[in-house]
Amino acid sequence: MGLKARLELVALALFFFFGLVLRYPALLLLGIPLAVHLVVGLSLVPPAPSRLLLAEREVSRQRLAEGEVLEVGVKVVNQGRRPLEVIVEDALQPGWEMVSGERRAARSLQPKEALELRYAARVRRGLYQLSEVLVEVRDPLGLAPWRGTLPCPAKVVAFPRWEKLLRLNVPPNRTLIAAGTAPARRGGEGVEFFGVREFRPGDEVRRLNWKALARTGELVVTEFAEERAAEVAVILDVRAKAYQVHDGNALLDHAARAAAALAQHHLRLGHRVGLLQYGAYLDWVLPGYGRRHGEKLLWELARARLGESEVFADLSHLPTRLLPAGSLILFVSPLLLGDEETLGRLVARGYRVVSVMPDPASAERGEVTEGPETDLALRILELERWALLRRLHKAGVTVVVWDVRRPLSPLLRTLRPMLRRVR
Amino acid sequence: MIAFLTALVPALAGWWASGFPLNPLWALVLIAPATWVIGLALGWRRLVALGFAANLALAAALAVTAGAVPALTVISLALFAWDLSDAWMALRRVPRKERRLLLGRVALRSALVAGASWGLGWSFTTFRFRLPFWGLVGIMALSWGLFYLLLRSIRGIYFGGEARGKRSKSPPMA
Repeated sequence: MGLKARLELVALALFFFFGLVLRYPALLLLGIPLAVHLVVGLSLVPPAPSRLLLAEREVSRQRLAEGEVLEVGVKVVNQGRRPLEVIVEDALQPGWEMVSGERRAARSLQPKEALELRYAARVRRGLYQLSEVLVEVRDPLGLAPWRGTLPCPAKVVAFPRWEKLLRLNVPPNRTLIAAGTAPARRGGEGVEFFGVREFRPGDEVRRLNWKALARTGELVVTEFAEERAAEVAVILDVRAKAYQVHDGNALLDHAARAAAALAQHHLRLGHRVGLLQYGAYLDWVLPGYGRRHGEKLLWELARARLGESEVFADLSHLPTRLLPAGSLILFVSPLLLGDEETLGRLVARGYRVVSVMPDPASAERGEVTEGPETDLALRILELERWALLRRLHKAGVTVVVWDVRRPLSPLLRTLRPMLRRVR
Repeated sequence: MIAFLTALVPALAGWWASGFPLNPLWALVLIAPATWVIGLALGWRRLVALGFAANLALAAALAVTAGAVPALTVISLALFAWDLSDAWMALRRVPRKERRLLLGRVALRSALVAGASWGLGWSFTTFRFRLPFWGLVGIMALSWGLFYLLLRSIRGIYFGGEARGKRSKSPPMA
């Protein structure tokens, strides 16, 4: 029973009570329209509408990249024997943007008739459970409207849109036994020059260094750096306080894109790649190889959310036990003052640490109005950032500051010489 | 607009029934359409309900001062206006074409019910009968009994006829 019926009932009771107590027939008569309205209205209320309606949902794709358009269709069928006035609304998921169509519709549904909603929306990165549709069934006089949800589940995942990185080959400090593309610190099969040594029986003749033979008269062979797979850990920072900008989720989207690009690139090079989300919780995907593992990492990055935690407020609780010694750590974060200590400690323990920093100032530029105050704020931000970068460089951490309005790939091309200098 | 006009009409009808008095206190009658219109504009059902309640109070006052027929007119118009406003609030976010179609149906149905109820009320004004004291008590008891039955049946509708209340606990797992 809705508010309307309750109020009418109370008014009816009051008119009867005072009409009879005061013996005033005119007051008694006022109850007649209310009584007629109530009796007619309530006699037309459909029983248990949730059992009479069935909802179905279809989506054009279940897996897509963020920013792509998804078509959603919802059908509500009247399975009862009486016509029903139905209002259907499908809630738009947070961050989605309507492109076309209608998310709301209302109609008087005849038995076995269906009401169909169809709309297209641009989706944001995320894992979405489209579980139900909002339905209101109105009786003819609106005395007992039924509002509820009908289940019609569908799952949609919008992966981060990652760019293909070219010519990025960060050598780790230690390699695995499996063959790969990272040059190991030992001679063997490969393409990169490693050194020369004396000829031993069994060495291939084509490896003989003829120039050394001519100069010294001794048999010497050339060795190449053996190419092996490496252990790579991509760490995505999801601490909410690191993303305190106008739209922190948009900056996290950029960070997730960078993390996806780095993970996919290193998987393509044949490395074992693991993923850690550090923030409100620890979400660790064990390192693995191949395309299937790459898909798993993308799923995890699709559902990355910002969070707060007292325990993980700083990086001191970074679980280094999960990261094998000497592995390559790719840390994607806007970085906070104080993070340099933990990252420097990782470098000191033998990890190769590369930090990709989506620049919060570049993400903000489109959102804030131009003016002297904005310029001053940006200058302060820049000074703070350069102070942080200086400390990170001193600690041996390679940092790439990424202007999120530009592609990441050209920026990472310059990373290799920088790393060599550090080594 | 239709809902606004229908909200204003009961107040104007009340003023007309009292012979358009120029007493400034009659401006208080505008409380009903004012709360109604604000409720409609903001989408607050409770404010619209308050407007309806104000119309009921106006009808009761008219029943005492101007007779039953003007009061019945005000109450029937208020019911019609409330049906229309309620439907408009429920449908205001749906596409315009569908909204107009459904609102037209609501207006037709509500006008029929309001007209019938006014006619029934008016026909009762033509009866004259004397009521002894115990008859009055009997009618009162009967009306409260009917009221109780009506409430029980409405509870069934409201909760969808589903089981409620205390249930026996499921046995412990073996």
